[in-house]
Amino acid sequence: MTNERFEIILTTDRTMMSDHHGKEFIGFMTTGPPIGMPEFLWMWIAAPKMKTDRLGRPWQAPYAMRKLEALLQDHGYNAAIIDPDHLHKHLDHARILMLSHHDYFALCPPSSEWWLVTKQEPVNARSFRRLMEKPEIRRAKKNGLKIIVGGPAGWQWLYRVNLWEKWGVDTVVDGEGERIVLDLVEKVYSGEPLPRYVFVGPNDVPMIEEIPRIKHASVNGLIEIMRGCPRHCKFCSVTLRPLRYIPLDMIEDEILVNVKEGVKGGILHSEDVLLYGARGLRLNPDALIKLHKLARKHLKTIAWAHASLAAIKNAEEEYGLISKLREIICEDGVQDYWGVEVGVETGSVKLAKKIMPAKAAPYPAEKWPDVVEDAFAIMHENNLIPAATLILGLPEEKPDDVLRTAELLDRLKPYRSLIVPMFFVPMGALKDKDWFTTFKVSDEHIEVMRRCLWHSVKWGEEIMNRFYLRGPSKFPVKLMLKLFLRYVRWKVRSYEEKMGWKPLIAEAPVIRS
Amino acid sequence: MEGFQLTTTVESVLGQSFSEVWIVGELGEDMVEALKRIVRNRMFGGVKRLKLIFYLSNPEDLNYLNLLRPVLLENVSMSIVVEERPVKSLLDDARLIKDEVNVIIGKMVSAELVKAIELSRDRLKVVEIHD
Ligand code: SF4
Repeated sequence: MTNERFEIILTTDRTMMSDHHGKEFIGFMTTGPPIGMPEFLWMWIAAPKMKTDRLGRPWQAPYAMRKLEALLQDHGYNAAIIDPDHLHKHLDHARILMLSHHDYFALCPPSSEWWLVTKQEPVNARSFRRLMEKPEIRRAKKNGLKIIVGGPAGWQWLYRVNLWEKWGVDTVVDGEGERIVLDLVEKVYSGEPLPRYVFVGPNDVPMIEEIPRIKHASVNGLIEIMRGCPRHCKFCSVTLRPLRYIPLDMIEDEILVNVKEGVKGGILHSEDVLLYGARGLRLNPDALIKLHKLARKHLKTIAWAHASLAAIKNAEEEYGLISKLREIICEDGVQDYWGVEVGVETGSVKLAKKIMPAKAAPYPAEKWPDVVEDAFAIMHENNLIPAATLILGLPEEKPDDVLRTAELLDRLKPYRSLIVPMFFVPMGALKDKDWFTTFKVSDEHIEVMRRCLWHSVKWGEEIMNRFYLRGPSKFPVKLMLKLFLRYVRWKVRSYEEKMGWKPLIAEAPVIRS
Repeated sequence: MEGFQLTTTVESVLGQSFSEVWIVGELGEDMVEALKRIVRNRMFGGVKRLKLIFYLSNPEDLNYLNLLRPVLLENVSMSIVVEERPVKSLLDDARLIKDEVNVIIGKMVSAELVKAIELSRDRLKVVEIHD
């Protein structure tokens, strides 16, 4: 029988502890402030509450937290993930509270960018603040609760030391958590002082055998298939860690955990799904086909977390692999599209060569814009719907580089996709509480942002009408999203008129069926 | 802790050996460059793990982390652990160490303590003094 008095509680705020109506992409709305509607409505669309059991254990929880929960339970600790609305049931007798987040203070793109553009704090940071100020956490802290925070946004605490102190966070961990977390827990249990900060370097990341298997469902069935990335882009920390492919039996086990708990869809997570089993950058079609057949066998719907555009082009041109994977994914008409995040980053060859020389590989970096367009065409033809990102404001960027990106966006008009520009905010700027009021956006940046916006509004409506949120139960959310897109269209058009800008809507993408 | 089944064995991070640097007293702006230099040298010298221990008069005050931020961001390849200890425990700690430790002396450190550190030069090697 489970001991119902958990000593180690893992949690996060509502923007993370939600399945976003089963659509990861809707989760992106948590990175913005509420626009054109009250915050509660925005939150209802972006991050609805998660179903829980009597003890407040959520039906689905973020995958990384599930890993730590499993690790702690495997080592005999009475640990559980608890939904943020149910913390009061446990904190009075808990010893450790562990928190994880993708963006604690909205300092990562696209949150930082929404903040910059709207001058309003995004809902993820607001929601996290509300969590930390809950009376049950404050009370437990006074009574000796240890608070350990980590996750991909652990580094952000270095920019909010005042809150680190105010909220009584004992330790901040930056990096993969498996090896350090048991050390920290043992220190608490043996009454030793905790370190204030730990950065887990590439030598201390876990090997495959040290990575535990999740025991309960992850948000939207997300399952990790590999860690690391061999492309060595300059601005990326993932690439510093060793490459590790998760074996198929472990992937299958985790898929079955989700399916057994009623999560029928799955997201294959990797920085580049198409590199699963690859030898360097040489694709491994067999491994990919096996992986997808396995996923198809158990899952109702399949999505990809990320893929690189070069691998998409290479996979199709050399092996016809995107079409083959489409056949597997869309077998028997169970689904007719699938989603993925891709990084366009820049349209400038000069910048691409400097900051991401291997991103186009096996094609030369000089061909980057062509690689992007070809990959978009392949995705369009195969109903693979990308949510693409661009990076603006890179340290060595010149106005001409931004214009090259605008040109590339014009080439991408005919292809079904959402394109989100992200600002590279220099780390130095973030330390200032009001950083977003001093950061300067150039005219060229505005041009690119407008192109992205009109592209995404136009294609967003098409995607919503043809593919997204089907079935009567999804109708209210679909309606709200449609109204939101209409509101954005109206708002931006009136702003453009006010500024005397030539309307870009006239150049909006041709919808190809 | 009864009745569980250990399915994953995991190596410890904190149980590994760390190269240590002790920073005694308050951290000042002028010490940031010295610390950055140390971090860079260790990193390029192939050190895998570095521990920065701050001996502070008020270990509850986390303000020093604001100055430490650019130092920590210099690093990409080492595991780094930051700890705080009360300045009064420094000499006791010094008695327990096996290998020589580099020490940076910061602001507001009493003359007696500086002298005591210098007297422990077989174990504590003062590499910078900022007063
Ligand atoms: S391709 Fe993506 S994950 Fe890989 S190094 Fe570049 S930015 Fe990082």
